[in-house]
Amino acid sequence: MKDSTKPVKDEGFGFAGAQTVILAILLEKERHAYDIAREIRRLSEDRLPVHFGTLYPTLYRMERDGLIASTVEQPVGERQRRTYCLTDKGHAEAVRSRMAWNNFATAMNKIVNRGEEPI
Amino acid sequence: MISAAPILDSSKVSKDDLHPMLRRYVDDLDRTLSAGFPAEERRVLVDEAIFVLDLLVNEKLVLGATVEEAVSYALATFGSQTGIANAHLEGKFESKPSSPLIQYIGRANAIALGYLGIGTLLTMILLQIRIYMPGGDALRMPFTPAQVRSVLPDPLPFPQTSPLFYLTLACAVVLPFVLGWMIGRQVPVRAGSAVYRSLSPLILASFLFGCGLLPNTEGLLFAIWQLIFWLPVAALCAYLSSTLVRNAVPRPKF
Repeated sequence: MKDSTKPVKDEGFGFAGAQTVILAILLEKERHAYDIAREIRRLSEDRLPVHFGTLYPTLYRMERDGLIASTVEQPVGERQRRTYCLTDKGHAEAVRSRMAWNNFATAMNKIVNRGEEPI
Repeated sequence: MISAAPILDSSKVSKDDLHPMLRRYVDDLDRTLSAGFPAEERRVLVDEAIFVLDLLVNEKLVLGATVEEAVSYALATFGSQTGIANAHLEGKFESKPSSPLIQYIGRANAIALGYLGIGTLLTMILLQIRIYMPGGDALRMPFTPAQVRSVLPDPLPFPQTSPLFYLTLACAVVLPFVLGWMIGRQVPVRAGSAVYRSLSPLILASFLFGCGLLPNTEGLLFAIWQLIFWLPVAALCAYLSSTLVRNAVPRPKF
């Protein structure tokens, strides 16, 4: 029998899920790719797998769609890295996707757990 | 990571000072990226890769892992150099400005759909002409229908050998090679998948077109031919040419 206390490793959470997560993380402050991946791992307590091979195309796509903007930074004596921040459109989308997710999660929780504590 | 220091500060080390495994990784990444990025953009991506790898290595080193273990962890966590390079190539390719429709179906899919759609349309037009305007003199063959019948018994038809027949046949056989190759040259990553995703609806369209041509069965045969021949051949050619383009680009030094 499966150990219900063990974190469930998903196969991945798709573009829509990744976009929602990235928007939520960038809502706090601007971050670079490693920082985003680390925050996803930390906040999900390693439940959500982060693949940089998926993260980068998602960031490109979000930038194309005008949700985020990137700048190349090179602090003195350090290597260059690209930093991402939310645009106004991205900010609005972050709020919208957060509400949509909360509605969805609440509904699913009521159906799947029937009022009991989630496993 | 690179250097001998227990906790590495990659910001201060040059590419030549990297741990051998990381250096090989970064060189491969750089070479693959050169298929789609100019030197300046590539430098940022490679720098960022080293920056992230460095942080991942440090994550393990502070927990007491050896440098070898930390490097292995960093490489496994960051992903294969081909995967990361392809992610950047695909990301850049798909994020080029384009119409909402192309954004919706995907740039690679749109290119494959365009080429394969033209090929399918051309072959369909030839089939229409062959069926409804079967003009043109038949080519003379060096044997008579009776001689053919002695080898190919009655249920098999005597082949029609007009120039139009050969043109249609040539299109049906050669086009998937040519179109697949052309698609692969334009789509840097996952060109085979783009062919698969684009050709599937076209095969369905060919099938419907073939049903419309009934009782003549040539349209349906074309749909089946697309399924068993065009799909694998075009996907393979697209994959091969895309891979060749990525690997053929020499790596400029920076």
